[in-house]
Amino acid sequence: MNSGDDKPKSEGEATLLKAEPVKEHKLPTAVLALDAASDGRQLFAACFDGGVYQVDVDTGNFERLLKHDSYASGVWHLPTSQLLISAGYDGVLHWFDLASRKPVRQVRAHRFWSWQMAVSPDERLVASVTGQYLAGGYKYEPGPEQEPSVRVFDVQTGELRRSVSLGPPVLSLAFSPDSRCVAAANMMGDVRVWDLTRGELAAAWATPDFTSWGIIKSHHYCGGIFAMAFTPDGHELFVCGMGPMRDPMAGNGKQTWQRFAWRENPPRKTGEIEDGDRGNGLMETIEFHPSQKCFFMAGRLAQGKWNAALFDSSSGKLLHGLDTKMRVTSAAFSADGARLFLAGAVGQQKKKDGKLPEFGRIKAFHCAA
Amino acid sequence: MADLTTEDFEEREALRRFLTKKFENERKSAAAASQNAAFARVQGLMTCADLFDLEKLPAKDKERYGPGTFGLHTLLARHLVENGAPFVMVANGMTWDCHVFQHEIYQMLVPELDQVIYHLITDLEQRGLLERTLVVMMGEFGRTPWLNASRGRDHYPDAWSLALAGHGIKRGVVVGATDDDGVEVTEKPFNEKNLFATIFTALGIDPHAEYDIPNLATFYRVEERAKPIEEVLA
Repeated sequence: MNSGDDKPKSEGEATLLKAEPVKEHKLPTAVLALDAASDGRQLFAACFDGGVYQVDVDTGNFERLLKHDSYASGVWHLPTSQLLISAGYDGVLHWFDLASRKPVRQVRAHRFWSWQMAVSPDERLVASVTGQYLAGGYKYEPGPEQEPSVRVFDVQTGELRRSVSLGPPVLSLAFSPDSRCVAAANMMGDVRVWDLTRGELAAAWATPDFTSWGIIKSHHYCGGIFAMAFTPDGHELFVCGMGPMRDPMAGNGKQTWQRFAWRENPPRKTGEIEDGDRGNGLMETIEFHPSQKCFFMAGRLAQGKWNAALFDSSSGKLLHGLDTKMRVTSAAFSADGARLFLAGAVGQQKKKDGKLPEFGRIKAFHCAA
Repeated sequence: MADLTTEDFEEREALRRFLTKKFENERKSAAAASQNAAFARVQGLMTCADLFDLEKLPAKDKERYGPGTFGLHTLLARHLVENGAPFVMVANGMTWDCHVFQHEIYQMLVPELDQVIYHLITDLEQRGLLERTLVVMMGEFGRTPWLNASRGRDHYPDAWSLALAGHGIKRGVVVGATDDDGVEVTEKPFNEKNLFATIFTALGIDPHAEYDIPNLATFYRVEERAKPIEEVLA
């Protein structure tokens, strides 16, 4: 594994202590979402085969807990109630009781896919985003919403608490640290924050820097904001994806994050990744380290030095980057911040001896800040 | 040129035709003859300019075919066939070349294709045109049954499918099969030669005609006397 930068680290800066993962595990199919138990010894992975798996970090042994009728796209571990909630491209949310090892309920959240889901930090609400990209105009502008794109449910009862609208497809969402607000963003770079306690839209803006229109050959839009995270103080919202491409099929937009002071009126961009720090490739996950000193972004490496990197939370400067040799779709820190878990996939291979080779990957790294 | 009236254009064209014909006759110039033939073809197209005017396509039809360029171009193709065009190709291939974002883009492309093809076939049938029109829906290769690391599928020439409808084609027939994973052809493999032999045969054209061109190798309409796919021929 290559370190993406050789900048000297000052005392107190975060780093991944080992360039090589301390653990690497294989799953049958690609992992689209990952969460970690508080102790960092058990992981939960939502996979292409619809399965939601529990993975033992030390041994790599895994057990399928439940199965969606299509790709499992989201999973969230609730440490207080020992519940697991997952979402899938079947549009269904599953509740699973880890103590009794039994399913609790299923709720149809959407007619179309659940692109992403999240649980509020107070474990009272679960939200999921959806939306099909259908042509709405000559340039293939996305058509109007076919169903509410953002839905919020009660964790304890599964009842629908709120449905709100944002132009499809809505690819990402996040709860604020105080659990009062939920943010969501779509393929066209529209971002919204709703105050759930007041039942009103709290902020709305758009960033054009994550969306492509195919100038060269594929004359449609693609891209969007693939992940987002509030700062631990809740004042800013970070979003990530990749910059525009002339050829939408190239996958070589600039690795990009931006930060916004969303409470200002109008919301204001307060920073973004520096050009010299980035290569090319879609960034699909962004997470704050429990120390709050740094944040982590990862995805795919198309060209450049890294596809997973730590950045300083205040300055936004790249602290440490590495090439994980896999596409990273999801990341999770252990509660103490000592470990970082990355999930995703390598390229799928042809069958060997009648079996499809495993292409899902989970890697664990030592981390310190 | 925008201000040029039809009468002005015709007068200028008549003068151009006269002078070049005179030049061609006096010099016995093959180049001039070729240029005149090209002008004739272009002029033929120009007289049909109205057929290509997207604004003149019926609004209700545009709505049915959908808002994107593929629907509009397919509607234009129907319009051209209705007006006697012998061959029309609607190109929409590059959008399907999803080496990345395969799921994200196909969620838009698949329903669009479904809608557009349904309306094309239905319209041709309702107008009595399907029985004398062959519709071929195909790409030049398939996509890998496995995903790459970038959410995409790469080129895969070993196994893929296409659809034929209309003149000379039997309805409701599926020929050939792959294994469950779509990796290998397990039943009745056909290649591009078989496909073109089928197309020519369906249209009543001899697929095995040969062209002897001076100083060049014999040109075969379909090489190796490949057989058409009899199962799909009406």
